[in-house]
Amino acid sequence: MLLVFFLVTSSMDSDKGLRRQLPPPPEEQQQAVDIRQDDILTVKLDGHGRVWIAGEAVPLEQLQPRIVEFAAVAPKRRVIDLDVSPDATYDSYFHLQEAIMQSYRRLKVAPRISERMEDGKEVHQ
Amino acid sequence: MRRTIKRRQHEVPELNMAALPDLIFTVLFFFMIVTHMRDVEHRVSYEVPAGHDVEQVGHRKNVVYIYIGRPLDSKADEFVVQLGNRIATVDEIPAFVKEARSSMSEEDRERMTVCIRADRHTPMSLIHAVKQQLRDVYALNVTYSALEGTNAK
Repeated sequence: MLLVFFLVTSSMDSDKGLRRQLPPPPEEQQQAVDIRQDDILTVKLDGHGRVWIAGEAVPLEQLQPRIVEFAAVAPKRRVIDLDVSPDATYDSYFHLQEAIMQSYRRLKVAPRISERMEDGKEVHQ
Repeated sequence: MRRTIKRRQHEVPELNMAALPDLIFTVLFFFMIVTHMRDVEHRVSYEVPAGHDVEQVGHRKNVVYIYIGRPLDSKADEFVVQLGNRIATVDEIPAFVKEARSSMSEEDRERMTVCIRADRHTPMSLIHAVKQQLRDVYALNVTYSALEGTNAK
């Protein structure tokens, strides 16, 4: 009886996921930080789930080497600028985030990502 | 050459049932330890994305869940947010998080993680709105819930 009860009421779902840290809410006076143009890699995610770097579409498999190549020069200084379309699916965004996290894990540093969607801007440290 | 086959009368020995209760109890205790009770009723249907590089979400005590998916009781192709046991709007997230936070112990509060269980097809505009709300209440640790492996496209 008890066994059947536990079998029915319990769920075996494992809690796994990609851990990220959100930036704190923007303050009244936010300081603009000067970043050199060549320290920024703009990664665009469009509404069809395609990833664009510098005007060319990059398949998901090639994303990681591209990010590693970019960030390895100065991982603490270089920033990834994510430009996400509001129509993009969560799935494509998740895979993009995962690729970035994997790249930075290879470099053993925390990623610096700035993310924006239309007007709102958030900065990950 | 002729062989004589000797046929013996086989008798099935009776099964010893003495070990059965022990077995059942072992299985029972196993389930009691590995599983946890389902504490929310799902009002939305969702299918989380699949990743290769996922890690364990923190301890259950300090995790707050936000479900995003299609409502179960309507056919409309829209995405809604479920907080606790009911479907809510994005604006209710701060209050929900604050309430969850106040019911936690001091040390859990610092380690509090918000686990976003969103459907793969959710538009990013909704996810973004949820994230903005979470930032406002300083719930900055988030986990994008995922399965291990690859989803069939």
